[in-house]
Amino acid sequence: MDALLIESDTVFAAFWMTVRLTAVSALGSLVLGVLLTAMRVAPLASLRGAAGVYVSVARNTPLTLVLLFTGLGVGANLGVELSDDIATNNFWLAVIGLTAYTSAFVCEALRSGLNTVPVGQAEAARSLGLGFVKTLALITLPQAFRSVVAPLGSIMIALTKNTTIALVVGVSEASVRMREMIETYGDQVIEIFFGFAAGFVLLCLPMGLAFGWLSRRMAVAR
Amino acid sequence: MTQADLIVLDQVNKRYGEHHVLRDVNLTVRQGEVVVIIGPSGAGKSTLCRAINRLETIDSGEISVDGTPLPAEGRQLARLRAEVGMVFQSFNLFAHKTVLDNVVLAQVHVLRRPRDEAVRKARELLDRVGIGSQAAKFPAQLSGGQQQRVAIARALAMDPKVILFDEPTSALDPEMVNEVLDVMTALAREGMTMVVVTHEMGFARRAADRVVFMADGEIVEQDTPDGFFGAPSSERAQSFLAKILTH
Repeated sequence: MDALLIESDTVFAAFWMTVRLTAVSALGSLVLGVLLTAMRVAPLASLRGAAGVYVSVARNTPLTLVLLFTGLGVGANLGVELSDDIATNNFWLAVIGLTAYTSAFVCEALRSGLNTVPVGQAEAARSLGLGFVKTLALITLPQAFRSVVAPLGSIMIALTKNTTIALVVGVSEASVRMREMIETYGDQVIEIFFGFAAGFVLLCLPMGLAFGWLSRRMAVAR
Repeated sequence: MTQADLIVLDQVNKRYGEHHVLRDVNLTVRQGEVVVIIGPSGAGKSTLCRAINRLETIDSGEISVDGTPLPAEGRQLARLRAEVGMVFQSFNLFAHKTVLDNVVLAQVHVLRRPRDEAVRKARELLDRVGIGSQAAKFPAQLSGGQQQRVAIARALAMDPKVILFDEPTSALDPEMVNEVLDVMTALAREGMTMVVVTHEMGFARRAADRVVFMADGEIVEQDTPDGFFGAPSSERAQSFLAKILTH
């Protein structure tokens, strides 16, 4: 246990990075996921097609490849600089990769949520004079959201754990710190491993409980 | 009361594959008129009703509302739909909104009324249909009859030129049918233009200015309630009435 106690500051810093990566990417993937969902049900076939292709590609590519692409492809090769500070730059590249990947899953969850909303809801909205965007934004998507809170929770928990792959872009989040510590404190591998595992459980368990509670609270009675 | 033609259907046809659901339908509804459409199931009554605000598209012919032919999907159609109220068989109240918000929502987002004005109007209408005390509840907490009365208030809140009723009492328990029909009868008395698809012959007799009888996608005959129920001229109408009025 010595190592974890001695290094507790850097361990907390590393987990704080995990939390920031998760929070920013979660927000980004929810926004992009909603946009993709809207495109997938849009009256324009070209929008539907574009969103469909995007979701298929993002969902079926390993996250490591996606992050390598944003790190090496977008960052190094195309020379996109999001900040002068290398660490900040890498953080945002990782956020882009995680968002691009996770939004595809958010889109699919929301789309299945839309399918649970009875057709009459949209018909009633249209018959009152609401257009496509307002019908989606005010009537169907809010109901879809409420029916997929639990699966969205699973996606967010997966995202939390997926942030460990941000190491390929050079972001020092928890798993990077764990590897460094295992190298320094070779005699305490098991303790270090369980310490970090416990850290992730502590992050994810409350998320699961919170989404479960939200899911029950927000359910739409029909 | 002016006698301007509010809704005009001209040679309207619609097919679902092989099934010809509307055959050369011509129908004119004048302002202030209450037209009740009756007929056997599958006659195309609901399709006709839904076609008037383009929830169903048609294959040929023309439908115009207040002199304007129905536009294609888009902003203009939305504007026209705002002027044509619709009450559905399954109520279709917004399940995630309170009763009050159901009546307020489109006033604010479509008519751009200030919220306090929209709320005032909603409360007034809910009182009028007898649901004033339930304004804060969600639709699922109301009985079918109450939900349908909210749906009528929601349609009225838009100050529509006409309200379409698509079998408004068919999904209701028998003891709730009358509370909805009473609201509709009152509306008819006040001069609201109404197109009502229904199986309620009592309502047709009491409130209709004209009864339209449909069978197999066609308008077979139309007459005043007294004329139609007293002496239907077509054989199909006679056999339909014999079936439903004998028990």
